[in-house]
Amino acid sequence: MAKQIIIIDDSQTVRQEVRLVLVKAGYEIIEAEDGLEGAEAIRENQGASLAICDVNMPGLGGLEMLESLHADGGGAVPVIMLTTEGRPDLIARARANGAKGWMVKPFKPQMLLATVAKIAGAP
Amino acid sequence: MSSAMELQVPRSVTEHLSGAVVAFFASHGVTCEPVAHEDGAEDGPSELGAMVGFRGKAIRGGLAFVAPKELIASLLPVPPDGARPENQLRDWTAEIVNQIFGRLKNKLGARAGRFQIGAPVCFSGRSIRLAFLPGAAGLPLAFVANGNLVRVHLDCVSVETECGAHPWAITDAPPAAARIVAEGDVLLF
Repeated sequence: MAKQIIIIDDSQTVRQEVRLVLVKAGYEIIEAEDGLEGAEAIRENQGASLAICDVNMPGLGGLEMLESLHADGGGAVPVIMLTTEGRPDLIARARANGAKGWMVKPFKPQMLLATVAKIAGAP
Repeated sequence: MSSAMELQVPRSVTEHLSGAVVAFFASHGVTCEPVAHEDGAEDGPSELGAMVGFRGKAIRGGLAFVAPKELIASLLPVPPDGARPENQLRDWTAEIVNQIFGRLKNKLGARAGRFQIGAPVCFSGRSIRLAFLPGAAGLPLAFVANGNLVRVHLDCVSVETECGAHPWAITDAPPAAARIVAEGDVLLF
């Protein structure tokens, strides 16, 4: 069975862009449009190997989602942030709340794959 | 209590915003060159635009991006959605303004202060003319990419706060030491 990756981003284009790269490599994808849906997807899919999450989203943002999950004990799904943000204080906030990594958009497909493989393992 | 006051856009913001637009297009394999600012032609092509609002401790404003629909479609990083092409292009236009603003913030680094960013809003039309709010500092930039006119407008209003915060945290001073992670970078913890 393929490893599951959760993609949380309000941009359908970005979700599709990430999905195309990861599906081609053999991963299975679950999509969520914002932090609320993302937290739900993570809680319902504790067997997922990784969640890739945007920071600025309407409703619940990525860092707020991370803080909410962290307050609940974190769960088993590692999270990396994929965002246009590069501020050190935001990165530190993500790290303090259990994030495993930070990628700045736009991403290169091979870099995304290498990062996913490093944290989630091969598909 | 706060009040709006006029301010000038620092030169560094102009340079970094222009650089951010050029770099965005370059990352999609398209050469984009700054040109003298001009409005879209009366009989211009169908255009798409997106605007993202921001608010910091002492400043608020918005960044707008407008380009011909065909150019935006040519930059799509995924296959065209035959069923919902307009929705896909609007979504992508929103992501473009998001990425340009992200590049600007990352280039300005710690000088930019802290902003809260809203969700991008999209619009479409022909001969779209962007006008600045009264009292706002306006920065209109124009570019040519693949023979198409691309326009970017940044407008800002400073908010004088009770605590006397500097009206514009962005200056032409050298960047602070704090490292800003750049586009394409990956950090693993």
